[in-house]
Amino acid sequence: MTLVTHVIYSSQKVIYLSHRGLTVNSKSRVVLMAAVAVVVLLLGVSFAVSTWRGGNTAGALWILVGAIGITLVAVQRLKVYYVSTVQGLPAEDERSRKVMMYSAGYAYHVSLYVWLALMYVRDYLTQSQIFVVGMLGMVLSFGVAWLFLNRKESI
Amino acid sequence: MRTRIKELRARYDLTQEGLARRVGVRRETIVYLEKGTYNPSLLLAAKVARALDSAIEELFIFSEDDLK
Repeated sequence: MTLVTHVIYSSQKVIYLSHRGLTVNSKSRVVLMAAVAVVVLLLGVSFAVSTWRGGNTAGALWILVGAIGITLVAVQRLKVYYVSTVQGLPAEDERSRKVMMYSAGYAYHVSLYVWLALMYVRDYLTQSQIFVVGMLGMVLSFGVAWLFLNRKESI
Repeated sequence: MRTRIKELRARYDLTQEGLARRVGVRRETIVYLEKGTYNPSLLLAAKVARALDSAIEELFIFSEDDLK
């Protein structure tokens, strides 16, 4: 079995297990989320420090706030995963997956308009600013849609 | 839609968490199901019905307006 075939087979297996509602990989998922949160925080702090040393204090603050925000969200998700695992309940089920799918759909829809708006004002922004604002728009629209849909009753 | 999940759950002395564990969903999903504000998949409806030793049509009650 080639490496590519193995990777495809493994990912299909994980998707299959996830559809069956099994929590076989929940422990490794928690470890992965914790690792990503730590990496994001460390990268954010180092990027903020280098930006601050470059004389851009406001930019450094924004980066720091963003990194801390992402870390807080990750910690919150970790808490949900941990509590669910302790209680013997799944961290995800068909409702939470439905909320995620709907949120992703809304975020995709909104991000189309964000990128269109950015194309319109591209002469006034640098390439990196367009990229950062576009990505931020996508992340924020997903977060807002998820918050709204997760509390919505009739979904 | 209205459901009899709460009533049957009480009959079997099951907590929301206990039912969630039996069915394999999060407790929040049971809360929304009891309120009748979440439309479950047919499979989940069948699992809840089985956990409460009931039939789907006894558990989930639709008004005429729901079915229009």
